[in-house]
Amino acid sequence: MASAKGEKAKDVARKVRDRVRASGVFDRSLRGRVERLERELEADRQLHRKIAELSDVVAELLVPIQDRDEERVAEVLSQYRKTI
Amino acid sequence: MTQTAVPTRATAGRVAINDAGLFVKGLGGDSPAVLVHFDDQHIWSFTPGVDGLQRNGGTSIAWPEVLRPFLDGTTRVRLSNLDGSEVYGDDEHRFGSGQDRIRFVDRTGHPYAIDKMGHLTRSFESTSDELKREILEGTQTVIRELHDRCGVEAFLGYGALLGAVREGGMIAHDTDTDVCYFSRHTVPADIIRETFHIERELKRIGWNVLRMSGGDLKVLWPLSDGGMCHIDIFSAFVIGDLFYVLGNRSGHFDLADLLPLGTIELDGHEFPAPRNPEALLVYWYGPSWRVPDPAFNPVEDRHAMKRLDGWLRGFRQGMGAWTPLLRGARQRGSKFLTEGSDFAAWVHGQIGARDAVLDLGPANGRDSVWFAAQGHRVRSSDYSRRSAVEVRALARSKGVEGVNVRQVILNETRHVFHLIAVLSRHPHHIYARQLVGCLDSAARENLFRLGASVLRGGQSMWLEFAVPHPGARAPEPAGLVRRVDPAELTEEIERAGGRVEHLEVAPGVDMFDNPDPAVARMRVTWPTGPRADKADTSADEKESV
Repeated sequence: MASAKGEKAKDVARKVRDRVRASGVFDRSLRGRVERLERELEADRQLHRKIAELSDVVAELLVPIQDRDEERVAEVLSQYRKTI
Repeated sequence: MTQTAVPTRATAGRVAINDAGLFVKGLGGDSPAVLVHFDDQHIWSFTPGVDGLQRNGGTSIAWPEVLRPFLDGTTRVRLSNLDGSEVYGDDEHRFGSGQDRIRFVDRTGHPYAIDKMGHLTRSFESTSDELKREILEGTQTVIRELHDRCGVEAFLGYGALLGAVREGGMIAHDTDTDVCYFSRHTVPADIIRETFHIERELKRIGWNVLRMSGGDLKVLWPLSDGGMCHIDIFSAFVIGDLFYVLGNRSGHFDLADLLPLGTIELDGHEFPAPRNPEALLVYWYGPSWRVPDPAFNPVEDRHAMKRLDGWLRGFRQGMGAWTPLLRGARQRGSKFLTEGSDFAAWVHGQIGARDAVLDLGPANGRDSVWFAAQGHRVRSSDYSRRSAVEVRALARSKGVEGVNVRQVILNETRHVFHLIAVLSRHPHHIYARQLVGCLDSAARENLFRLGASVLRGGQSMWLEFAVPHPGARAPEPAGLVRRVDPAELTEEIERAGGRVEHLEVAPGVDMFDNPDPAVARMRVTWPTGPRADKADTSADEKESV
């Protein structure tokens, strides 16, 4: 019973929150702007890993594969996998 | 193992112990670290205020997960403060139903200890002088290769440096040696690339190296007794006005106290060390670093941790939990089954008799081995290194050949690109049973990138996963797999250019074949099209690349 009441209260809270957010007031508030900035910053931080990984693939794998020598490609692939 | 609750009071004496944990009366949140010995062997240390729960005038704490499989038999449990001047309890205790004395040792008979991270390891206290020498020489070699081969300035770190400065030797309750190096880079992407270079160079000389994050590596150094010691390599760098050292330390630090490096002696061996080691020890352990504390837990700046997580982490979520789960996969009573699943049979009926199959997330490899037994060429790739051991063992025990076992970490884009390069030359169907519920969004993105790149020749991606269902309990293994909404997954697939050709949701089973009210089966394809390797590449273009 208590948990059903709790769920109902949570539903109401969620609806109020969604309505406030939909109105755009929250987005314009300082808290809303900070939350958005934090989310965007976090996404930017994760780009560092992607850049590092892609640079590694380009330098170690893609450039030698462009040579199109199948034997050499097989060797490059095998060596690359052994060292990551 | 009984399902007993951790004791929350002691009815006789000061200590209560059962199979789930222990309670010590009179220990509060600010009490010093507690050492736990079994038959005089130090096995574990904990800090009441950090690791335990305070209630009924004492502290309750559960036994560490890694210790539980050993808790079957009798031992004398001694609980004391660090120097043993105060003993809270020292009594025989029987765990489980075992008749023998508990032996907390590795397969070579060497005593185990549990480190601060809750991992099984061995403490220097119970390590012979010969092995200590091997560990110290191994650490010297790692530092030398980091300098000579990888071009970075490495030095003794953390507990090893603390032991060297404070005692001139290894700390008895320490369990490994740590090495740090200073990176001159100030951008996270460059720091990560530098670790790729280091990892590559060390693997090229045949070392067993694990990547722990974009900023730290682990060398598994073989010892003459057949065991391994772990030598961690942590990067240290400056970004903005903060000095960071993996893992998770950050703060203001004067680099003049670090460089140029000096030397320090540890148990008769000379090591590179910070120019002013005491300054770095204050940075790591605070001003009270001279007072021994085996269960030391640093206060970490949560903003800095969040930053480091964002920049450098995300390779290994959940990996630590899969290892012990998979380690027991061949033991009696394991939840892992060894026969092929219904889903495998369902897929087998729809693909060519000789089609090659990539089994992604095979866990113990039940379906990899089953597919191979049906005559398919199979590549079996899990992110857990333990899975590789289990899959090979299962194939051996069933006398099945033709399973090519290769680790693939879907969160590591380099692994995925390598796989794309291989599979685009050797087409496979991609089979993933109960995998997508274990993946985060970055890994799923890589999974579908893989599909988009290599399923251009008419092969499919076959997925089975638990879906949300009112009142349904969490699928097993709980906490490691979650239910996935097919509509959300379809959206992700379509974003990656794929098409869901078949979707059915019906009662089925989870990873361990427990009944589940809502399980989806999905077949996904990508349109056939011009392959990248058939694109026009004139000499001019080649030159301009």
